[in-house]
Amino acid sequence: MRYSRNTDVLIINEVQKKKKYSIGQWCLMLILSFFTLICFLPMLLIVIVSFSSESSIAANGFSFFPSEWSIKAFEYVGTFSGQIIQSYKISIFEAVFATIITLFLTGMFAYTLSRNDFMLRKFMSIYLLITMLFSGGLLGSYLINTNVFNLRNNLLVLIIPSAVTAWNCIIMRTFIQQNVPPALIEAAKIDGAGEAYTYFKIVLPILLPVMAAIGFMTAIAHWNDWQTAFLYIDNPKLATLQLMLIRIEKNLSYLQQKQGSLSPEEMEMLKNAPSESARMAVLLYTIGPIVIAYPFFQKYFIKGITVGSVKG
Amino acid sequence: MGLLKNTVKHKTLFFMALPAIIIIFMFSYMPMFGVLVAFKNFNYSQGILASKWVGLNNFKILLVSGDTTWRLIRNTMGYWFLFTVIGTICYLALAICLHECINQRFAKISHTIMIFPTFISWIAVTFIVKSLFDGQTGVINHLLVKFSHQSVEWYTDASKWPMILLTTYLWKGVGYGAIIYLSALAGMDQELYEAAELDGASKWQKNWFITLPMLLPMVSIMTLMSLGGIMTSNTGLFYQVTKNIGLLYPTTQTIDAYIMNALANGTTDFGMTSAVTFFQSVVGCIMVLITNFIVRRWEPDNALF
Repeated sequence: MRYSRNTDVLIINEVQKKKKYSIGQWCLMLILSFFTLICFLPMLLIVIVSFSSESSIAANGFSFFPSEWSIKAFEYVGTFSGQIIQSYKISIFEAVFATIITLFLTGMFAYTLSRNDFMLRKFMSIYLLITMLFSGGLLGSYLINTNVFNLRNNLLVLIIPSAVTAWNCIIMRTFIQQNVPPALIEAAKIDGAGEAYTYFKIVLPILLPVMAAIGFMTAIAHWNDWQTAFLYIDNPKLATLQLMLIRIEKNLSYLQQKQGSLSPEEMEMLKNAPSESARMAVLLYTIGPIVIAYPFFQKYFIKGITVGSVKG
Repeated sequence: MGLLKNTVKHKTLFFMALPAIIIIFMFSYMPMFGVLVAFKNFNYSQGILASKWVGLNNFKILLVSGDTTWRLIRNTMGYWFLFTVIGTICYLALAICLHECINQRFAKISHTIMIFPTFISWIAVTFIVKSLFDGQTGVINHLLVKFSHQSVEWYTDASKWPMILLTTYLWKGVGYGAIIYLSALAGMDQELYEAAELDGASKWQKNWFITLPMLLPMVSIMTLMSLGGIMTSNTGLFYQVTKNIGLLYPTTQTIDAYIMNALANGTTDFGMTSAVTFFQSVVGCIMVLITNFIVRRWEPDNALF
């Protein structure tokens, strides 16, 4: 990235800084600020709504300047915490295990793909590339997962099917080819190291940056994945956070549509249903971990994208 | 023979690759055969293999309900085109702006904020879009009422949605999309700029005559690469954000959203769905092959195979 530039340019920058910004630079910064604000405001809105009182939402709708602030939404979330904690557990389980398994399998597979002296690798590359060419789409996977492997309401469905993707393997292989000299592997072999030892003790430490990049992207993708849980999980005990959000919305709109003809039980449910601000508060809980993790991993994932672009 | 000997010699490597090979087979290859239900009268209890073959019957349904089919294909390809063209322009513009900004700390902070929406889920985006466009409580309607005394029922008016979906897509993806062009800009030869400066080129001229032409190969490669996905679309955007509202189908339902809707409703009639899936897969495959052919002719280093 341009953020780390060589010293000559830095000196030029310093000189230009002292020279004061030109009008063009001010305009540029104004434009950038404007678009940054547009990106930022909708997220700010969620926070503000979750701190708005119900009556101010009822009177003015969602607003950046609510007439009355309230932390009632978060109190409500407290009463609802059983499901949230359960979903948190499932989501963390999914993200952690999926990341570990993805990195473990992708790393080993990519390493064997990068070994020139391993003749089978050509066939393995073609085997991998075909998956980029042709796919069964949503329906194909759905039929196989439910009809052949019986993965409905099984947490494995959240983790295993997406564990090895061609794109990750190619990024990892490219990184290995660029950063692990064959001479290193050769030297390890001469010293009597076995293949597994060479990979886990010598090659793997070099792969840390690309592991961090792919690991972060995988963890985020699984944290945010709603589709798999939506298609395969019905059991509320196994619901991920995203699925929980979908269910809240769905139940609520179902109850609201039926409003006139509700049974007493459903009346009770509608009365206890989360308010607008409470739903936003729940949403905040699901975004929170990403906000915390993002600054630490930012530089790694930028590296990951750039590695991937060197050769597709 | 040599291959066998080589594999035996490297049997540890083979066993290291085996788990991945098995998983790819189970979850990438077997679904490809799942597509074959397009030629069958699929019955859930009988399973895929035992269901009866019906030849091209399912594809007849595709033709009979021609309006729906045409709508799905038009929406899918239309949005792909819209997102690719407008998206690329925005990514380039943002990358150049960030690159040109002298105050790099400011540029970095603003880019970091712009990347962030990429990392929130489509469900969260659905909530955000709803809070902006909702008929009664939405922020935008609130502002409209305040300034022009009329409100718009966004969730029942299909004609408004191409714009909303495009904005949402850009909002979520622009910071992320610019990364790749920004890194390309960082790697560019400074000498060209210095030479241009000596010749008295202005800032605009430098951008127009040096930066853009140098980024052009990158743009073509990225566009070509995305061509393989011309028949696919994001279910998060087209199924969740639109809330799968029937009134909005004319401008929002894409092939993937249609399949998602069928699966979520627990459909037992797989005829049309499987035919659409088959069509989608075949077109996708052809597109990747064409793309790769062009890329290999033009820039062999970037070809996939």
